[in-house]
Amino acid sequence: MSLPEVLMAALVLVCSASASLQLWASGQSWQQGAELRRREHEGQEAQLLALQGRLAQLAGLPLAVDCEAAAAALVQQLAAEQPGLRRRGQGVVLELSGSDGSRRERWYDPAAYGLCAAEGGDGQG
Amino acid sequence: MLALSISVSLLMVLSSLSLQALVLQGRSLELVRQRRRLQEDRLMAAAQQLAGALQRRHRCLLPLAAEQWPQADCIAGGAAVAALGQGMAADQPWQLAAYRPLPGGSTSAGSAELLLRGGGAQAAYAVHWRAAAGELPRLLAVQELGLTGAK
Repeated sequence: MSLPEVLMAALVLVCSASASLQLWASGQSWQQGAELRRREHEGQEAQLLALQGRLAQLAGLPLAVDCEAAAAALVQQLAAEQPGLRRRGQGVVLELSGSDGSRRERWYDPAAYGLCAAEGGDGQG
Repeated sequence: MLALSISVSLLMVLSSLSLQALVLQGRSLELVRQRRRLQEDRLMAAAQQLAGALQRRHRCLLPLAAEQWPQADCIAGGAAVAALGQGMAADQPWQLAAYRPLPGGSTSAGSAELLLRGGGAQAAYAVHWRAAAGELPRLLAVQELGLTGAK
């Protein structure tokens, strides 16, 4: 076994080990990020389910005469448990943001849950 | 010595490449799930829009299948029926694919299945209503049943 052969073998080994380590590190880092994103999405789904559950609890009991007032009352009533809930048009929208910059929003019409007593007017989605 | 070193190197590179393949697969799955969530949100906005329109202006249609809407006495003209069949919600056009009462309903309460299409997807919802004696039905809830496939 000659010295050049030993040197060449060491060089090949060092280069491949370095490349492999970089690939492993980037893969591991992505997996950790993916796990974080998965948990965030699960949390967002739980928030949506919680809001839909509250809407189902309130269903059929008008909060106000017109739908805009009902939407305002809904936002006020659920402010503590749903901080991302805002008024939009004649309804409410739940805005959810992820740490990766992703955004979700769900629009709900109080009329669809019997929360406004009056008829008439247009919805807006 | 050199042959052993090359073998070990190949093994290390191949194992890290297989990990990268898993990462790529995971990324593409994440994109699919993200698109799915977006479609669910947009079609839910459409379902809310349609349900809100029915509750505000056409409560009498709630117990009827969509095919019966043009013949209903309480809705004036084909344009009003056509307006219920499509719309724009969350920056995406949607179409009504089906609205049919579910079995087991009565004159005082019932449910209907609502199918909406938009953005290459179709979603199903259950619409629940209740009616006091002598009054028109009132909507109680729109329940999301999920995407039922791309159309």
